[in-house]
Amino acid sequence: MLLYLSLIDSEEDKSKFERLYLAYKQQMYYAANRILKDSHLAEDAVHQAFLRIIDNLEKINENECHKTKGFVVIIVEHVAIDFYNRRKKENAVSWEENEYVLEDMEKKDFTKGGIEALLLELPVNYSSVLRLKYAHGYENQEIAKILRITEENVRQRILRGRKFLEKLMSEGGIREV
Amino acid sequence: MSLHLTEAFLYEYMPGAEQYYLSAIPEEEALSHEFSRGFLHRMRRLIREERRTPVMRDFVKYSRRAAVVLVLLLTLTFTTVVSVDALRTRFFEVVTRVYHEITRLHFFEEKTPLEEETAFVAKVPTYVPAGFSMIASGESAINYYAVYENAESMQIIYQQDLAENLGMGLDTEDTSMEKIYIGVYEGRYFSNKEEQQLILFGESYVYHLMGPVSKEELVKMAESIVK
Repeated sequence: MLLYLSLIDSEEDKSKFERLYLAYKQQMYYAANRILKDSHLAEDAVHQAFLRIIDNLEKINENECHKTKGFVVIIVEHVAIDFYNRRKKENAVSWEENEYVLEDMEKKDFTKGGIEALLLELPVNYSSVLRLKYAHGYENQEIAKILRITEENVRQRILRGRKFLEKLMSEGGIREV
Repeated sequence: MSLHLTEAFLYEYMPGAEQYYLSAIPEEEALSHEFSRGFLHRMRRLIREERRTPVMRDFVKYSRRAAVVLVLLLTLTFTTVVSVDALRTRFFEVVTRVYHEITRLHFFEEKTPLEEETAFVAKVPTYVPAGFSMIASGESAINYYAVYENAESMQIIYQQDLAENLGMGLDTEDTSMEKIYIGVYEGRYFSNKEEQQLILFGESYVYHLMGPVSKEELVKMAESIVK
């Protein structure tokens, strides 16, 4: 038997949550809708994402607004991909097989100067894990908890994401890192 | 020539890559999606739940042991009974206690030692308030749920649980509680300005209706379920 006492631990966290909602709901919707292309589902994804954000409030430092935006976008994209895959389930496409790549984003040439653009080419389920690890500095265990996937799954996505990046960079003529 | 990305490279370039990635998302002020009333309602509820947290914290602060005691109480409440009648009596004892002592509680009982297992049969309301239609439903071996929505994105949520495998969330803050009967079945009606809830303990099931409609409408829905 579970006693569900509360979602949030402190007054500070509570107000932080409301501020996050006001500051990022539109961008989160935008991020979800460019994956789902369905207004109703995108709103559901944003709501689900906020439920997950509650569980990770202590990880969010509002003073680092770029990191905060990055974090909430990763969460909502991950939820949106979940929704997207559920919708695809009828076609028996598994999570790992179904690699969603954002289509409507401007992409730069793969020169060394535009190496950042390679991230746009990565399937979202790989890039979200890579961003959490290498841009936000989380350990695999923490990433697993944030995204509610197994540590093994995190490890595999990092490996596959890196291979994907290596392939993209090779194709783009980038040889030295 | 094969290429191998090093950890150092990824740590060095990924923050910038993420910034580039995020730059494709317009600033908040530049976006103007009009969220549906349903979404805004759900978010208001979520934020309201947070506002309740201090109450829950006070409850825990009052005595950390209280939570443990309550868990034990609930466990005992549902695991020592051997009949549906006894379970019903205990259930309302707990509902009343929850209503008076705390504002929100979710409790789940995976299995109770009733003498005979009951096969789950979903009961769908044959009456739904005008303007509402089902937008989602689901069924498992122990429960059934359905969500009804009207054109204004207001939602009625219905859940049916096997009494032997009860899982239910009660939200009783700022509500009044009233004992009601639907036919021979006893229930409780919780009401506040925004949302009404009706819990009914039937023969083998507990029915939970929740939505921003009148008591009469919820009662009609409940009647259509058990009659």
